[in-house]
Amino acid sequence: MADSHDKEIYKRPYNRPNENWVCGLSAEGKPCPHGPSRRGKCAVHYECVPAKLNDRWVCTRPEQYGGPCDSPALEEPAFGPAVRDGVGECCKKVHCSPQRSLRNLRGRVSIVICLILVGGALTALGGAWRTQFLSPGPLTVSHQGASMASLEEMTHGKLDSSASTGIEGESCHICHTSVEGGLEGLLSAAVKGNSSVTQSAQCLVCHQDDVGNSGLSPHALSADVMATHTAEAQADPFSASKPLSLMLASFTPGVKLGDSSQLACATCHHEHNGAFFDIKRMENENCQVCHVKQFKSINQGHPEFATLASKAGYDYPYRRRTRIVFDHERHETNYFQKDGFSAHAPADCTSCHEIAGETFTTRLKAFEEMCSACHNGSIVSARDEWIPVFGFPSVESDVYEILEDELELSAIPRTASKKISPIMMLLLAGYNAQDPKSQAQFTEDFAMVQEFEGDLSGIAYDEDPEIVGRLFEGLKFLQGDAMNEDQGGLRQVIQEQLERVKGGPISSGELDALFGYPELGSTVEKVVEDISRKDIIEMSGWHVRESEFRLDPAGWLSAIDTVAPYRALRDAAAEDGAGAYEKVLSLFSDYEAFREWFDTQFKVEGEDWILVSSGKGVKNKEWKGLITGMVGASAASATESAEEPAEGDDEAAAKDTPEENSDGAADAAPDKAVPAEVDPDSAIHEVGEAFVAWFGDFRDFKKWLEGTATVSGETWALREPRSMYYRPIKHADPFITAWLDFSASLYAKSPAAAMVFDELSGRATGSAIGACMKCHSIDAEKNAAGDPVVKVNWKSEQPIRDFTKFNHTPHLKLMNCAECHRAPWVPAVQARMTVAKAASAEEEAVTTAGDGAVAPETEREAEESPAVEEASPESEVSAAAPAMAYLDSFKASTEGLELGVNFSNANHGSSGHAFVSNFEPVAKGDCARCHVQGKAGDSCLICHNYHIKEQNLSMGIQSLRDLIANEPAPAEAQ
Amino acid sequence: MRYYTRRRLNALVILGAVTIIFLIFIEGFRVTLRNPHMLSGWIFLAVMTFLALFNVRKKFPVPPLGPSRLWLQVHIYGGAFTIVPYLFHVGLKVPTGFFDQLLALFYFAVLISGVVGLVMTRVFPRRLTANGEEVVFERLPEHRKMIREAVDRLAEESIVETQSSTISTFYTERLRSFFDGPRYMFHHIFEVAPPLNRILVEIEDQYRYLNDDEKKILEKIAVYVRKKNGLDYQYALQFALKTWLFLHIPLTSGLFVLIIFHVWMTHAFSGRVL
Repeated sequence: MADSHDKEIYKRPYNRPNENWVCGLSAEGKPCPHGPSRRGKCAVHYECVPAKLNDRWVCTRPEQYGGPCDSPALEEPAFGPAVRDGVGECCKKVHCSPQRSLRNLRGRVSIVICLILVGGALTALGGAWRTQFLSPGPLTVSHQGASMASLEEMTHGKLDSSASTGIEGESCHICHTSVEGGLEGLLSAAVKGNSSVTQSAQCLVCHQDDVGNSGLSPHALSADVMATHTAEAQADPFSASKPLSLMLASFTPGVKLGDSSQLACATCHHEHNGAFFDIKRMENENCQVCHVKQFKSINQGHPEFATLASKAGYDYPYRRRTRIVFDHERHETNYFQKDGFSAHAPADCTSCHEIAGETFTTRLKAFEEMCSACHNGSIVSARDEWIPVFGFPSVESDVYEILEDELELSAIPRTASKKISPIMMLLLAGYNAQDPKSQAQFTEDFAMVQEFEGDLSGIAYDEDPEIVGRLFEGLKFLQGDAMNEDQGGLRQVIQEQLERVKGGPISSGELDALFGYPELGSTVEKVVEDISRKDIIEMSGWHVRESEFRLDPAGWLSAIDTVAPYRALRDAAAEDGAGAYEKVLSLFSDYEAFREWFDTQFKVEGEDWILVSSGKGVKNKEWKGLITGMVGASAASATESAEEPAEGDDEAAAKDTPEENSDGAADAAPDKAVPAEVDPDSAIHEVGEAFVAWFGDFRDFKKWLEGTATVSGETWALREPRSMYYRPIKHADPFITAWLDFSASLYAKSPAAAMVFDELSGRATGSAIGACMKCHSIDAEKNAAGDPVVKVNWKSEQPIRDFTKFNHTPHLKLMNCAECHRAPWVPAVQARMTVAKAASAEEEAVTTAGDGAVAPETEREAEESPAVEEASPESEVSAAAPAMAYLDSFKASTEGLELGVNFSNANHGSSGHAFVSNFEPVAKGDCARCHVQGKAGDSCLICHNYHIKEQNLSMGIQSLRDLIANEPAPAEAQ
Repeated sequence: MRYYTRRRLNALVILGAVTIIFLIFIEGFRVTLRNPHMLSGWIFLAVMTFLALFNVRKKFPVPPLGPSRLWLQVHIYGGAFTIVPYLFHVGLKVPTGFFDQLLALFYFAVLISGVVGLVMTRVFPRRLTANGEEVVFERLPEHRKMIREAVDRLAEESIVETQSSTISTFYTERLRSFFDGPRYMFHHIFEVAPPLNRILVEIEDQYRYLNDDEKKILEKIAVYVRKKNGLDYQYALQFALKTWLFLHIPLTSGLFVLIIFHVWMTHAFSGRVL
């Protein structure tokens, strides 16, 4: 059985293609039955394997070899298998070279290809062109070349030569920080991502300013702010159908955030998509996927621009009150209708608003271009008011005596300042800030100063002189340092004390602005000397203009109040009458009378007083004679003699001695110390003689007078070397704005700073220096750290990255401003503008006619211009103007306007968003007319920014009063 | 409905359903700012791995892994499905990087070779059957040799019997190379410009120079020419059926090497983005 089976097998041709090797004779059609071995060796050396049939061996050669070789049918039959050692053996040897099967060849080709690819890839990784081999595509233009080179320099401190030349080169590691190194680095990066610096951090090296400190957080906002927004949105009822893609998104795990709820830059910005790929492009669905309110498009479901119902009144784009208080309606319908101001009316919106900046928002032009024609006069007129900057306040003489006698304070300077200046109180706050005990005491004293509005005399009389004494003690230390060059002088005093109040350093530039002028001398005396120089005066804004800072009767009274003999005589005369000293007392206490008498008798030439009658310098004897001569004379005669001094004085001056004075001046000679009418025993005698002795001493009096005032020219000026004043010289005065900004920044922290701010802004008195706050509103906000900050809006809204944006440029090519910024009064304005333009066209026609004549309208404007500057537009029309909704947004209450600070207003809520514009809000439909797919596009990013800075959000504006009230007690109050 | 029609319909429905599910997830990932390229890439790799297992399955027939017929169907429709994740993986655009282009080249080479192979396996067997007797590929050389030896003998006999070398000369100069091995593969595979007619015309042109005995011999040779042409046809089509895998499988192997490299680089370069 077995034999027959084997025979059948051997009769079959070899036909097993799954083996790795096939018989080499297959190509000749004679494959051997056994086939090659597994190793490809020919296993057959004979044409057959003889089989034993019964008792003989027979040939089993396959048919393809011609069949059995011993077949008689063959022409030359062989003998058949030979028998060797009892085993049949084929008599015809064959041999072949086995061939690989197709399957085997296929496998080998696969292996070769794989090896080639692996070798090529590894070679590429280790080669110089690794970046070109691996880079999935070119970077965007802005990330190529120099920009990446600068990042390389910033992050690695070196410049990649290839990157700097605009070729990407070996610059992958600039962004892909984890792949630095060779193959090992690549393997490690794939497994562990082994780098302490993330790729997003690399992006922020250059883009931190664009996205803010929380750049990787959604919308670059902190978690708290985001939570607030989300809660507001969730609380707001909303219903709209979702796009299909957003519904499908609900089947997925949702947005993947990092450990700190952060999003990597590469989540949205996909690089390596070509040089001109829009890396900022986002689909609307990508924007909406996180949002509570989801909708299909601006036409289908987008919320109205009035936004949240809980914040009704947040009309777009008037979501907050304007920084600059400007009532368009009142100006257009009232002021510009007046003859005096119509010439200054703007021709159209672009007269004041210009499109500027990368965001193409409108920006207000400069004050000089828009407002100065009408308002500069009122600002310049405010220069009459002086701001006490550094100096001692004055107190009543009794208080001086109390301070000097009872409290044993010495060397208290006498000045003309009625009250202690807020800036001095701020410096004192810094002086007391170091010691908690003195700080607590100062807090109490400060409260008293606030209660008495800086009147120290009132404090001394009504409360406790010790309070004034403590304040004077501090002031003396400050002044001592300010006058001592070794201590750094005034500049150092201001810097040190303000830094203590601020709790941090003050930059050099900030100090220059607060100091008034960087090149002023260090000590008080040198500062006063410097600011008296005309060039410094003109450049610095400090003003010591004698003609205006004149010595007036009130100032004279204040000055002579520092003279003890005079005070004694004055007080004694008040009780019993001046008696014989009436004339000399009246002359001395009446500035106008004294000046008339003085100017008649003397002429001041430099430091010398020239006696008019003699043309020579005054001698002590002559002076004494003049003074003592008044004693015993009536006040009327004294005045008369002062009014008619010519003859007698001339004669007296012509004589060297009083005895030679023919009109009786000899009676008042110095040696006649006691006039005949004077009763030596009277109470007035002693003090009267003391006063005459002081007044009659030429040297003492001259020294006192020159120390008190500048005695030259027609106008005398008070000299207060220990008191410095300032007054603004122009709009946007740098000194005033610097102090307002500084004090505003500390408004909630320091009551003293608040006092300065209130004083300079006019909040305390209702009349600001230059009325800054009349047009510049004040924002009270909380900064990113939650600290309250008061900010004066010196400028109009600046282009910032907020949630929304608007590009005016393309819109204004298609429409005019009024199509979006609608207002009921716009037709009236348009009518006026039409008339103005017609007049302008007519004027132009006249001008172009070549007659050279100035148009009548222009002449009239030129004539009226000075008058316009003199008059304030508000002063003419305010009485007739009704209460306007726009200005309500800036009112503290319905009673009046409070300098741009939007305090709690029952009508409009309590935040800065409680704003009623002059214009109607822009509705969603206004935009949706064009912003649809196929027309102007409806991408979210056309109107919205994703990356915004938290500080740009205007949601922080709130009531200044609430802000302060909710804050813990400031440092000085603890 | 015919069995094959119903099978194709069922497969297309399943393919469509899988594609829709895939698109839902891709769209969901895209909208939710997840990385849809990562999802499509891993799906692509998973499908490709499963397709490659078909070749393994053929080598291990013993474990009960389902019939090869079913595996083939899954292989065909799975291969068609790979186009979807591939296109979404590359962002529906032509890759711009050198390595990415190499990867795309290999993928399309594998895809096209697979499609070509599928067409051949569906069309060629019918053509082979319609062409006449089917011969096992491995035995074709044997048959070819037998025919050549037979024609050789006829050519020799013609000299002995007709005392003329006309046939033998014609055979030697014009026909011997035709009988030596497989000829006209391109013509047979694409069935363009059949060479048989041209050879037969040449044989007929010889008749005018032959006597009756020689004509009989040449007629026999013409019969062998037709047989040899039939063998060449068989050989060409069967050779194509066997050797298209020479492209498909090695290219698939290379594609996997590149995919592994790609995955490595992707994870290395995307490490620590946050």
